[in-house]
Amino acid sequence: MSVAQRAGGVTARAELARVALEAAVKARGVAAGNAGPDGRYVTAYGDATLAGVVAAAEGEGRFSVDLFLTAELVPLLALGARLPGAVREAARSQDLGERLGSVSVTFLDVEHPLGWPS
Amino acid sequence: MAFVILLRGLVRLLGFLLLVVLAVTGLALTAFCIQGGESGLSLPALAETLRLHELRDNVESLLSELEDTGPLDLLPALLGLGLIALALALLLGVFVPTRERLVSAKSGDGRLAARRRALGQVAGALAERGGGVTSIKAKVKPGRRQGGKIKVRADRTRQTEPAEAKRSVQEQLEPLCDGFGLTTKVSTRLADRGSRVQ
Repeated sequence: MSVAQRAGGVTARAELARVALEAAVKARGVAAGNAGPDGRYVTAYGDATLAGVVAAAEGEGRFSVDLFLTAELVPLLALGARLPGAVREAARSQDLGERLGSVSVTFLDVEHPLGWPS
Repeated sequence: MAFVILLRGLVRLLGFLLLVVLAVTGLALTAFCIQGGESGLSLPALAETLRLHELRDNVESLLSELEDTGPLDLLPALLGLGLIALALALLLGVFVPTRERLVSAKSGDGRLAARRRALGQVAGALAERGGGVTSIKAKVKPGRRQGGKIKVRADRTRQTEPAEAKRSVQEQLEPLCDGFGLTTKVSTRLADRGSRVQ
């Protein structure tokens, strides 16, 4: 998943959401962002929509980031523990480290390499 | 879930329409209270305009027809049942939550959570690694605040004792259950003929 970065017209909140989602999706064990059963876990990023991330103001110029993901068939706890660090690292590399508040991870679905038996 | 979302939309639409009807009725009643007597902007004039006396007569005759002894009137009965079903559906739309409860685990400053379907799938995949197990069905029920319960039904081979299969499944699920604060309940049954051991 990759959304072209926009130089202007995008708020710090949306930029942080993009950076966080990209970092999460790049992590080994994450299949994709997941907008949820009724498509409510999204963030508008310019004309695009980022599925699977919600960033909200937390006060003092910081934003909390909630990630909603489809994981691969891997240990979820370990993956969930690893992701906030990866998101913080990515935010720091984009000079957004100080704007990032808490990072929450929710696994909405899991992909089986052979598909789940019906 | 989609059905509940649809019902919730219907409740909102009907609620809005009822409010419009209420507002218009209130406005009309207020306007027709301006004058007294039986003409102009008076309540008897409003009743006359709306032909309320005709409506009363119609309702009265309908109710007396319904009260009559004789064969069941199918149309009013069906309408009544339909309205009861509609009312129950609207109540569902009001009271059934659309947001699914998640299973949460403790995690640093943020939150780590998983949807119960995702956890059930992982639990099933883990439990199938247990020795002597041919297939697994796992259901997760989130707790009110944290953790939850996981109910597993394992099919075992004829050579595997129930206690052994149960222990093996529990061992496989241990890391997942510890992390998410899940309590396990494992039941086993003999696999059907043709099932193959994992």
